[in-house]
Amino acid sequence: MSEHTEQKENLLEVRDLHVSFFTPAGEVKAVSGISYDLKYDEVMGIVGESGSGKSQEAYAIMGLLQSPGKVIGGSITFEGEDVLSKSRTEMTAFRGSRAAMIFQNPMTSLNPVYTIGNQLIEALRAHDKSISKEEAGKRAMEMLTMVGINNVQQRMKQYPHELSGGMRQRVMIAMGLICHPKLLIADEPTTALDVTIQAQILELMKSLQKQTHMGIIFITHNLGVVAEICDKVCVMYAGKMVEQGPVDDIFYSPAHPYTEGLLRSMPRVDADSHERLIPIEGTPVDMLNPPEGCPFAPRCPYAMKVCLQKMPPYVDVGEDHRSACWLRVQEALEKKEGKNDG
Amino acid sequence: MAKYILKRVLMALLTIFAIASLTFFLMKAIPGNPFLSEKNPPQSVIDNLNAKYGLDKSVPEQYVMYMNNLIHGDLGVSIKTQKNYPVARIITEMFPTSAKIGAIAISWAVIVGVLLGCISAYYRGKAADSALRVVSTLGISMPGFVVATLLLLLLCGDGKPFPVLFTSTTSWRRYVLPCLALGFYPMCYIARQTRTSMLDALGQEYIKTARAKGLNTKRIVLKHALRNAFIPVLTYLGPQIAFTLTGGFVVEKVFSIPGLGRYFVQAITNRDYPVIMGTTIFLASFVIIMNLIVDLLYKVVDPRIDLTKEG
Repeated sequence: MSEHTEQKENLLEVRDLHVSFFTPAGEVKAVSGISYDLKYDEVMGIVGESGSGKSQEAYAIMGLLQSPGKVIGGSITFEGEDVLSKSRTEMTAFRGSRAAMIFQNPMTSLNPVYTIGNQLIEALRAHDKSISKEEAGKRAMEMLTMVGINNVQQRMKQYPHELSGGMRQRVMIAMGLICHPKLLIADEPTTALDVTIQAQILELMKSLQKQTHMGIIFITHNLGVVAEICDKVCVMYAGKMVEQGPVDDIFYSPAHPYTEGLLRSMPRVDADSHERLIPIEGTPVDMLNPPEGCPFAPRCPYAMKVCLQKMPPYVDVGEDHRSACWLRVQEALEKKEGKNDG
Repeated sequence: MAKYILKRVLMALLTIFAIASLTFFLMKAIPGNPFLSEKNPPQSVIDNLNAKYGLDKSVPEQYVMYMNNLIHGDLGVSIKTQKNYPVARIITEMFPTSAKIGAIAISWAVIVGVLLGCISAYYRGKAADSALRVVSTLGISMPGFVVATLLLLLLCGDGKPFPVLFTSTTSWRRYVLPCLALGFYPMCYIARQTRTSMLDALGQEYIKTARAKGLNTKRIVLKHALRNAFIPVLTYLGPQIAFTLTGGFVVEKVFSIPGLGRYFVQAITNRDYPVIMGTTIFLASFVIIMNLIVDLLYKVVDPRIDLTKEG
């Protein structure tokens, strides 16, 4: 596994993270055992369907988990600092200044009763109390220009409802980046936008990433977006990480049946016209009563007996590419045996 | 905007006209007249008095007469008070006392109510929230005279800090209990309303954004959530301010405050027609003006509201 090499360059290290929600109906293990590294300058996609825990995992990093959600195990290390042991005040100072987050719906993510300028300046002044209002205003306008908004002087005085969805998401990005964070978590930032605007926002994020060299965690259920922007991908299913690897490996040699299923159910431009999308059969896991073994086993076309009994361990299937599937375990064993025989 | 205000003012005049007419006929429909009491004066005296105040004419004639005077700004004179006090003067003399107590009452009600509502919403489900909800439910379900009487019982009398009668002293102490009693219901109502709308506001996406920006709790609650949560409270406040300022008659009665509210109720039992009409019109105008102010304030609180578009 690669996690012990190049440790110094890691911006973020997440190890065996567990997040649970203690609901009246019982414990829901929203995230169980996620591990990954994110380097400075790297864009990682977290892919999964609704309820797979991908957003909760990100909230845990930001300290934004809402009660009854709790981190119950594992560690999060950000630039060598333990995030989970930070106090409330320390987390408040951490959020927005060193790690920022933008959300899915730009229509509702900005406060409707304050101007764009007010909300941008506030984000800056929350972390830099010494900066004057004028200076903060200037910085805010620079940020707006940077995210491709024109007429900034006028925009500063406008209210969110006076801007389009795409424009608001640009404002959200400007607000996220105004304190020059090292990490940007984007929780489905393009899902609520129409396709042309989606492309623009992705383009913007790519170019900003190149300028600022920040790490980005891109949460999405859209593999097309992943292919567009990510260096590596973490595929989540039912709170577990089922596969992780460089973006090309995930697309060209997926090593988990769920990833394969996701790829087959994605529309492609180069597909023949008669080719149909193949949905993944079955329904997502009931998170209150998760299955014993691999959570995907009940829907998996290759499921074996062992899959229903025990969660598979992670197997390295390539450089920085690992997967949690008994098929891969089997292959690995066969390979080993083959070597031994030869 | 000017057009909108003009439209509202015209509507207001129409409303006042309607209220005045309705009150006039309803008032005349109540049996009895101002001159009846335990010892009835001779019929000839009553006839003379009726003639003096124009009560011998038919109701429609009286109505036209009253409306004519009203348009010319004349509210008439009180039939029951000695020397025939003009109604306008009664109002200007009585209103300040009521308004002063009312203003203090509504001010503390808003400040404490909003604060408690915020605390309640922020600590939703915790002990503080439960306790505050019990208090506010009690406050809403308890009639004003119960609150006033309880306060009298507990805090007035010999050796206790507050006077029983409002008029018995000129110290500031005389204001404490009436203001407490008068403001308790609105305070509880505002606390509940704030809690509900605050919970709604705190669940909004922009609160998540504010947290992600690294704002502290105080700023998130008081800046981002409260302004959005305040609109329903504002709606309630408009007419409530008018009602409270013109005098809670129960509280004025319990503490013997010479205010407009108490006088209004007295006028009804006395069939002091011009006073009933005058105070009703005054109260109605006040409510209408407060509503107009509230509507204009919506725009200040929430920039999305477009006043000119609504019908």
